[in-house]
Amino acid sequence: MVNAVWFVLGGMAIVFATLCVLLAVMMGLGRLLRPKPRPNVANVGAGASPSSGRHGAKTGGA
Amino acid sequence: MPQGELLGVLALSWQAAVMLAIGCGLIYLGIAKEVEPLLLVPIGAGVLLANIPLGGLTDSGGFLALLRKTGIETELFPLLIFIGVGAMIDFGSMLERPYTVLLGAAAQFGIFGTFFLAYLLGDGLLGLFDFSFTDAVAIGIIGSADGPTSIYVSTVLGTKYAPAIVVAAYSYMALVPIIQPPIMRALTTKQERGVVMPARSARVSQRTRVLFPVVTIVVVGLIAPKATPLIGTLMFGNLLREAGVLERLSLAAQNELANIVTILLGLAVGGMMVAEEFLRPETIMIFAMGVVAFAVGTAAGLGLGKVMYRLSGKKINPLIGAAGISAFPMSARVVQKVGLETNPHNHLLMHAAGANTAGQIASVVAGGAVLALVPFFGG
Repeated sequence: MVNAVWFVLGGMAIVFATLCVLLAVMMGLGRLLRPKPRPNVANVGAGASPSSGRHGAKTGGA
Repeated sequence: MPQGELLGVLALSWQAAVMLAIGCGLIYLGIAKEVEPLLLVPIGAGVLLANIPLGGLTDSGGFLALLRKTGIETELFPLLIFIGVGAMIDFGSMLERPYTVLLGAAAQFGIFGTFFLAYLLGDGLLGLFDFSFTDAVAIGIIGSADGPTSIYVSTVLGTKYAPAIVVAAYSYMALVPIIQPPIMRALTTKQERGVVMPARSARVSQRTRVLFPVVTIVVVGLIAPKATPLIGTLMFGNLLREAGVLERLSLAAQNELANIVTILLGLAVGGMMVAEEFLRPETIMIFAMGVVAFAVGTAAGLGLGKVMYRLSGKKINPLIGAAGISAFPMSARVVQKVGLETNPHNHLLMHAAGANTAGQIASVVAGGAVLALVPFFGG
């Protein structure tokens, strides 16, 4: 039965360790590859160019 | 030629008759009650075909024997199914709420708790049933609430109870809406169940979605290598879905591949349920253990959910922990339903779906973990 207790503890430890690493990687990926903010549609519709403040800025909305 | 070789009815034993009734019952449940029809109808048909006396389908070289040898004993069918499952699952709700990964991990205690109980009743202490250490581990895997994982692990472990384990796993997945709600209500207060969570979360970029399956294969494969076949096929299917340039392959995996393998797998599993192997007291106990497995997994997920509820300052509804058991998508829907009972404006579906898809990954990791640990502890 002692073996069984170690088996349970070892199994849960592997599951949590693996998923904690995966969680850390996912959070890292989420920060690194954050989606670009959407252009302000209201301003574009009002005639303001999204790149008007900075020449050649790649802010979309063209 | 003896008369018994012409007329099957003369060779019909009571055990075979019981199995024929079980086969008809599974077909009835699938068609009339619509309980997991995609699985129960092929399984029921397989049971019928396997138990017709003198039919020869399970004899060496017979149709069902061939399916078992080529698809189950080689672990081919569950892995092919996982490609289809991976192509069907949208991991977006989990990627938007990474903390739900931990709820999936906690719910895997259903596997290990059930193993412990089965081993206690078997060779471990009481000796009431013929459950060796390996058999107990295979029974515990019902708690993964995942058919392909149950088939894969029980086959690799080589337990004689594989057919009962697989049928129990699939049956209880269909019964999740009945098993889970009473446990959820018993272990949470009305105040906890009523916590409203915002429907929208942080958006996830397409690049993250594409990288996720690749990263998961590498991370899980390096830490729990025995899980690589399962996680590899699951994530390959998901890569087909998310790549954005493989729509034909993604659709083929979701439809043609998954459907064909489901038919063959169902027949093969049903074909394993021959009277001599299936009708024993241990089978009934395995079905009882299935309820324990789902209940313990649900309770463990809720337990961590309650911890998160407190740590987050009562912002996380603990009910979503119950969806960590991986019975996708049933348990997420159950969480939504129980949440709405307490507060008609509380929509927990997307949060529960995060825990649910995390449970899918966690159950595969747990499957790999038990395969890695059995040689060390099960001797």
